[in-house]
Amino acid sequence: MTHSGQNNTSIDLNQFNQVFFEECAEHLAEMEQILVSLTDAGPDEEQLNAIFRAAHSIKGGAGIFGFQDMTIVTHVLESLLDRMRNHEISFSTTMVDLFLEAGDVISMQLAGHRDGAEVCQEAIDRIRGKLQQVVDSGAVASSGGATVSKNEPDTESLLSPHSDSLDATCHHYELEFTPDPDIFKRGVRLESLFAELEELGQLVVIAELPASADFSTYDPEICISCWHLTLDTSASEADIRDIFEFVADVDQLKVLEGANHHCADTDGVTVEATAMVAGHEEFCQELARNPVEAAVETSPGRRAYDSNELAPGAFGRRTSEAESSIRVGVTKVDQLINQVGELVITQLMLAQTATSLDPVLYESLHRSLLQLERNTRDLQQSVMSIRLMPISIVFSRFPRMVRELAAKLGKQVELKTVGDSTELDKGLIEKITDPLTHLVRNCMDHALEIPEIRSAAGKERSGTITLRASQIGGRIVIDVIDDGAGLNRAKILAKAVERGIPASDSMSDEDVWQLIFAPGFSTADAVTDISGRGVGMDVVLRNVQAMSGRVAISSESGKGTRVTISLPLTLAILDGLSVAVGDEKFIIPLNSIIESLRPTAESLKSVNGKNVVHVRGDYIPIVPLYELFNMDARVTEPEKGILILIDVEGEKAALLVDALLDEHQVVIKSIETNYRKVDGTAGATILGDGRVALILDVNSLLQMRKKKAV
Amino acid sequence: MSTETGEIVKIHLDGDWSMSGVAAQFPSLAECFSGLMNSAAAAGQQKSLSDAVPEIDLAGVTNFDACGCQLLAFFVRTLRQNGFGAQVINIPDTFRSKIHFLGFDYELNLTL
Repeated sequence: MTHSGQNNTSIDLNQFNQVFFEECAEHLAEMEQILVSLTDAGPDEEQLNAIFRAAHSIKGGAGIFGFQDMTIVTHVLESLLDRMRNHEISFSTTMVDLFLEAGDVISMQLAGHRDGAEVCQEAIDRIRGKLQQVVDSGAVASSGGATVSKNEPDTESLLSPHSDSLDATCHHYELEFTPDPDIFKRGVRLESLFAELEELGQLVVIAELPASADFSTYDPEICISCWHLTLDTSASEADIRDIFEFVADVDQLKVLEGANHHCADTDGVTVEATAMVAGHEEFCQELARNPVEAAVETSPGRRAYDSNELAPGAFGRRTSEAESSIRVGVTKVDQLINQVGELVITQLMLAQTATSLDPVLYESLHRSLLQLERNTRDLQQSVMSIRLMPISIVFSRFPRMVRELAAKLGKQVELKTVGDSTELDKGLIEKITDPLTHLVRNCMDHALEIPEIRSAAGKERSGTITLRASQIGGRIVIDVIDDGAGLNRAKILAKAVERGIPASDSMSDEDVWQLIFAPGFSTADAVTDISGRGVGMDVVLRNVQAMSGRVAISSESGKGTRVTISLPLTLAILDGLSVAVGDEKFIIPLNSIIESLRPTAESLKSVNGKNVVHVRGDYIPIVPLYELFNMDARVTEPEKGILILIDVEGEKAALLVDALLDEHQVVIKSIETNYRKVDGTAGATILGDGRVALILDVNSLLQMRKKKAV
Repeated sequence: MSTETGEIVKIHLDGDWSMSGVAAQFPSLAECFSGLMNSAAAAGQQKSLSDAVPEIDLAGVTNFDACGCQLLAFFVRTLRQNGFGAQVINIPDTFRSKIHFLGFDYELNLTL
């Protein structure tokens, strides 16, 4: 046994800690989401249960994984929530802030364990004190009699740190504890349990074995004992029951409050106590005969998460979820995606090789290769979908932020989210959070007016911010829409001129809005009707562009602003068109291509010394790729080559290439990681013939062209 | 575990008497109990054996928890119920406190 024990301890517990950290973060997020969604009416039963479950699960997990400090706040929080569930304490709106603060503290403790972040003990003590104050005050309020009306949930007094409503009466409790037969097997340490009880006051413990048990059939790992405990303490019955929260359900722990009952109804206690002992003896006898069945039979309605920490529903875990999903590390998923990418490339190589084989002679091989291609694509799509996550993960952080900022700024704001289930790559989810936060903060700080101004303008006193996500083609589009004052064109232009940014009154609105993305434009100076807009917008643009995304703005004075972020669905694969320039092949992302054409001599013009192509009334500048990349090309005259019309944020250009080759779904490989950054490219891929092709970043290409022109 | 017979039957307990060890301890304990019962029945001298008071020596026990405590208490109780006035001896201080803390001192007929 000792040997096996040593083996057990050699298991790397970090992997389990990680699961706890993730689950804990999820529970905190869930708790916060519910809290910020609450109205003045307070939580309904299901919401209260969900918050309780979250606190309960965190406490249970923290206890199991040895993060005892995390059980301190959760324990009091859970006690308070439990009393609210039992209608012993009423909800008040100020409790939301209290619970949110508790969530923050638990989050801080979590970060302390997970990331080694600094933990503020003062904050822990403060929130614990506040919560305990509400628990204690609530207990007095609910103790019945004339005091009820006096202590009726007046939140201010409940939360007052100087409340003198603490009940210091010493109670005498008699406890009868008949644990689960498998309590030892579950690793529950009764010593710790009793030590916790002892902390509450003076404790006397008497263990009792069943009178008639057979030694020959006895299983030493089964608990057949019952315990009678007496405890003199100022703590409440709920405090005592809390200690048994994870080891006993209601039926397994009987608590009689001796002193109080003696004063009021001595006979009642005696009768009940006698009945209790008689029942206990009966139970012990049955337990000795058949321990497991006895416990089950005598425990109707017991909660699975209380009785067995290992049960699927333990600690409030939703059974169906636990059984229908597994947690896998991101690195493992990425490795899988990478390997599938290699498989796709290999499949492409095979397909390429097969083109030289006679389709009649090798019909069977060709058929198999087609099947392989289909299967590989399906596999790739399935694997890619593993990394996709709902954008609600990002959206869910905003209700609280909006709530707090609105209170701080004296504004009334409603946050709406649309398309929460829209999925995008996990990497993008992580990277889009900061830009979105910035945009929402901007809306709150600068775009939305205070209620008085909104009323004066004939608007609703409450402003609205809408976060909308949707999938359009191969891209995810996220809109941040406010119904505030809108961008002020004149002020933006003035600001641009002041900062030396080229700007004129003749610029279109779209061009003017783009000015706020200019570096250095992000200041606190007034831009919109209220104070300013554009704070850090250059950073937003940069971050979005780093994800191969785009940002567009539309705004109407007095009506509001819409910032639209467009992102690729994933950063790992891309639909592209392969083109030839000289001896090289390039991939142009399909989503930026409008069309390709071979220009006629008549359609080619020169405007200000620059070659353009005339297409349906538009004069589109020609960008010869060979020039940008300093290459030898076979085709230098546009009429002999192919022009690929591209659209980048409304700006059009015609890329001149030698020839169109094929349409591919390519696996993106980082050229920066494997080589170095190459301007005008977004990565590279390996083609079917084994050659490396650069994937063009059309946005960057246009920037290069402009620089060259200057 | 070993048993010394003579005027006083000494039962030496050793090893792990915690949850992780009780399963391994139990067979020899049951064997010991059965041996005591058989020899008493064979000799028809149960009363005199009872007078001898088997001594259960805890000196060799290395680990001890509530589970082990229960086994020990149950063993002692069973011996008593079968006419053997068992006594637990050489209890390390830490185990004695634990027995008291877990409330088994009454079952084991111990006083601090």
